[in-house]
Amino acid sequence: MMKNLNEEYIEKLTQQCLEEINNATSLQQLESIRVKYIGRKGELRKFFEELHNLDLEKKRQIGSLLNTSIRHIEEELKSKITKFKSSLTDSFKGEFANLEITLPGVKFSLGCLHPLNKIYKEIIQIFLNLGFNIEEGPEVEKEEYNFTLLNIPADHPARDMQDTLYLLDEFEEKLLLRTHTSPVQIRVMLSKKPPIKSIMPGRVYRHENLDASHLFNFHQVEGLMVDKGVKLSDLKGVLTFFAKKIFGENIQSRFRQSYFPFTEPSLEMDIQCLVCRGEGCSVCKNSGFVEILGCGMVHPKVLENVGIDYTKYTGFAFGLGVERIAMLKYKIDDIRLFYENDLRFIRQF
Amino acid sequence: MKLSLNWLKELIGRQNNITDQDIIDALPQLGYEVEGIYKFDKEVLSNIKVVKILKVEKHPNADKLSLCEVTDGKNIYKVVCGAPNVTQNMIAAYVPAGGIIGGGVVVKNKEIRGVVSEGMLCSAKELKLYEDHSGILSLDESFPLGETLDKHLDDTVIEISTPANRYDCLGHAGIAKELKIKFNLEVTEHINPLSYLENKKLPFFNVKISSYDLCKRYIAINMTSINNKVKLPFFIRFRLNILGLRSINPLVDISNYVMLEVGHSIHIFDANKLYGDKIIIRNAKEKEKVIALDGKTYELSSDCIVISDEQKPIAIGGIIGAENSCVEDETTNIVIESAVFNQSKIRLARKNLNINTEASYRFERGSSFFLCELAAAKAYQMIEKYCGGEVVKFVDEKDMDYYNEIVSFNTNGIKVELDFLESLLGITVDPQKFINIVQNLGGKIKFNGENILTTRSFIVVPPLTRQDIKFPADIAEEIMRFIGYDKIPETLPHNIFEIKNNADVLKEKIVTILSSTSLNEVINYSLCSAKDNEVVRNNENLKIKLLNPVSNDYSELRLSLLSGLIRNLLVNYNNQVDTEIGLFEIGKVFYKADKKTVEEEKVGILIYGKKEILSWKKIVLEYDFYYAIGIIEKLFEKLNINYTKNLSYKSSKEYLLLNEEFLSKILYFLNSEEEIIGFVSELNKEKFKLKLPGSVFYCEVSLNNLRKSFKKDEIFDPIVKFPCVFRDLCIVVNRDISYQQIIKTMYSCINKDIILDVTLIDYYQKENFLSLTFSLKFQNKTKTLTDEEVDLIIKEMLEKLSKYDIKLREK
Repeated sequence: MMKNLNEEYIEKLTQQCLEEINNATSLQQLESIRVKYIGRKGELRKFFEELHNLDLEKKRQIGSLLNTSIRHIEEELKSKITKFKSSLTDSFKGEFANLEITLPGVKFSLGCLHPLNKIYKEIIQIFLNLGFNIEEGPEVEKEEYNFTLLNIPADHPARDMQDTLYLLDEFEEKLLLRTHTSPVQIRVMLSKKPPIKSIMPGRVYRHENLDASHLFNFHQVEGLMVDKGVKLSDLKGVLTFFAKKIFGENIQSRFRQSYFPFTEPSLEMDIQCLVCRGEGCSVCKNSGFVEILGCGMVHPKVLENVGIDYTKYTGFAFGLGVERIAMLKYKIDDIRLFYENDLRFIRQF
Repeated sequence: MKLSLNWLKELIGRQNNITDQDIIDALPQLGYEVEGIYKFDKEVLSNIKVVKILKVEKHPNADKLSLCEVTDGKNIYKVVCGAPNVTQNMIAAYVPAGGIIGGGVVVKNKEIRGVVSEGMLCSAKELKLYEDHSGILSLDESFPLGETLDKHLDDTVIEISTPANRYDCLGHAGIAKELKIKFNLEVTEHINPLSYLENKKLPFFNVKISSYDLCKRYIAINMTSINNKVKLPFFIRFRLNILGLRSINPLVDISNYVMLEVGHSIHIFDANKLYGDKIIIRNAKEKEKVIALDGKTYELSSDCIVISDEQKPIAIGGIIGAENSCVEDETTNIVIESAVFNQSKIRLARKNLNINTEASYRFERGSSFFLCELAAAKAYQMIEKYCGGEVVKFVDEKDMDYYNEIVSFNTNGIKVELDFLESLLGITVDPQKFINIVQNLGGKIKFNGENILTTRSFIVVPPLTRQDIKFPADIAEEIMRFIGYDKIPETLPHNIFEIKNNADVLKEKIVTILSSTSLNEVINYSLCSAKDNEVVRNNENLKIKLLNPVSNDYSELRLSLLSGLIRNLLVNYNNQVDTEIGLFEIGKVFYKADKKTVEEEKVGILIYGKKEILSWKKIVLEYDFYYAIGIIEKLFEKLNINYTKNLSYKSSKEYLLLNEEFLSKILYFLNSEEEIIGFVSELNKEKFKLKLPGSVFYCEVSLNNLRKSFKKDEIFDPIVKFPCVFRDLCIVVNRDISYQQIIKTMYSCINKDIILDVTLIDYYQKENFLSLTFSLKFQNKTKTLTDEEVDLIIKEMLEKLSKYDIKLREK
């Protein structure tokens, strides 16, 4: 058994090594210190070969001490090497110490999420927390689902509210790019029985020329709840809750009469203008309020169309534009910014 | 739709003292959004005096100018005027020196061609009333001389949007009625407005409706001995002008005035210009041509409605009249048309002909039998009043079946339970309030039982004008419009907190992993150009084209995320934000297969440049092919997806592959079923015409194929406490073997207790062999690993590798 295989000696050797590292003045010196102590045949490393001679308890103690010592030495070596390699030697001493310690940290870049997706998630999460589940559907839709079953007859001016992009006529039926995510509501109601409590997030399309407030594709989150005893006051409660979560607890909101063929009564929800806080400005056309979404009680005709008995069940539905919410929340004045993907824009979020 | 607040107040009844603000506040609650408010400029009008023109002479030094003497009742002023319409005895608007007119111009006494003009006579535009600068504003005798105009022309024009189903509210009267109900004022109905004509037993005017599908009612009133050279009262012409309709001649003005008031569009023909004595309502003949009142020639298709005499078309029904039958100053003999046209046909024709008129705006929203007769009655009465003449023939041709249907629906009514209303709305509905609202709307209430206040069930008969009211829910909306939605409490649905979160975990994970590698998320349009889609193989057969694209740049659905990402690369490269451009998008691509459309989600990743941290501490990492591979490998590692890498693929019928000529390198990632789950490529910059230094890398991941092998659950691997043993291994390879095969061979040499971690730390090629240096990390899960054990493993590795002509590198 090797006479020096004891804790005292190992610690002494370690101290000695650390001192040498501290006094070293070149990378070559550091390398020879490494070989001397912790290289394959190094003074500390070679003790491992002797461990088997010890009893179990001792073996564990010494083994663990050796490991700690070697790791300590490795770390010291590493930091000393870094110090040599870096342009600044001898950390923060001397006449420039003040400057050195106040130099900026490394400016590394982070990957950012697109602001639309961030707000999208935020919106969805609020409704998930309220017990809604997510339903998705195709973006290429049948006319029947996008319009007819939603009580929007052909050649009705209500279709003008949503100028439509149609696919070239080469499929079995007339197809279009959905103008809202409402066809998913139809799909859900056709395939499931009440109670239904779902949100339908997704991309929608309109025949619009691009400008600061119009896009031919944008995102919507719609919601649908159908059950016995669903009331207009429930709709108001859910949407007011939503507005507070998105825009802050103090946000004022109001509901106005509106018209959608698929809801009756139909309403629009406004929130207090975030720019002027209700004082009146150009953004809110001096009304103090800005529109954020359309909603209402599902039209009996729509329920009838999907085979739900409207004398037993009632429902509410709502639909909001994700870009619009993001623009209001982040005070973005040009909707096209979302699709330009300028990193100077995206990295702000 | 534009409205005059004065007109509305007049129809509501001035005695009710409703203010402009009351109206502006009430309209949105009723469902009419106020889109614009144009108030007359009181400051300008307070400078303007009413004057009479006493004398008009030619200016001595200018042909186009007149010299006028005007009086405000006290003094006489000499004014130079350039307007062509200035005449003796005209009542005009005069601004004396010092007054300010539109555009902030301060009027001075100034010499014009040698004659001093004391102030000036003003046009409507100069008074900021409406856009007309063709002549001076012509007032009439109702304006007292010398008074300032602000006392007599104080009005506000508002622009509102009307719901698409409320064709009964496309005029001032309809809106005024809504306001009266809102303000709790009594509403009076006009009953049988044409009864006077009906009772006179006049001879029939000959009208033939070829199909009630085109037109459900056609009222024709023939009048003779009309004087169309009279001057209508100022207020009629003025209202037309401020609401955007130019005053033309008394008959045209009256028909427009009736439309703006009643909300139903009518037309007047010059009866002397009609051939024969019959008006026919029919489908247009294919390619039939009509020169319309706007001077344009329209070529009709057979689904247009045409009004014709026995020889020629005289109007495009419900849209615009023809030039050949229009009323002029000399007109004395007329036919007034008031009809109910098929709204779908109007809308279709309006779109096909690319024309928008006040008439088409109204007819395509629908029209009411009731307003149709009201408009007819109002028109002939106004014409009698202002232009004289008398009605000589009259006809009211209608689809009696349809008419009876409406009437019978109206007698049956809708059963409305107050309990239903209350459970739908979440408020208590007071029976008296309910009854008041229905009655004010013009509806009738029927109920069984003694006491109206204890009755919970009613039959509601909606007014004839409101054919949109069909369900109890429609009644609920009416109630709310007049009660106000602020009265509804906020409640939460009974089962609101049964949480069933089904968010897409895979997608969320991918976003988190990719953004942690400092890539930025982007979102692109899903429409692109034909050229953009060329990057995909077989694109001609796969791509989905739009019938009516917004522009050629966005005429197809995207087959790949690549073109959008390249656009983003260029935006950012040109902005010179920094040297590192790392982008990813998760989005749908679209293609057709077997005459069906397929939507598939992909992840696209584009990297370019270098991760260069601009700092006093130089940190540079060049993006290259292997960095791109690293991203995909890290992604799959974190998602626990097994894969193999391959330069080619076997079966990939469902995968949209990029055209190889657009790529200079590609590596596929396949799952156990040999399906492509992703690829890494270097782009052929020339093909993309990319003028930037360095290489661009594009990776793609198929969410569909990934989803198959993705498991949501993550299981914890216990942390191993035993020490690691490190070895470097340097081998020489001189045969064509894949890296994966080498690694696989190495791993085949360890037993299940050993954890091996292999990192390639050096690579170089010399002549016909490759040298690879690996750093190997060994660890045993159950005990401390000895050097001997590791030596044995390495020995076995070398033995197995030697089968592939791989050996240890000699120093």
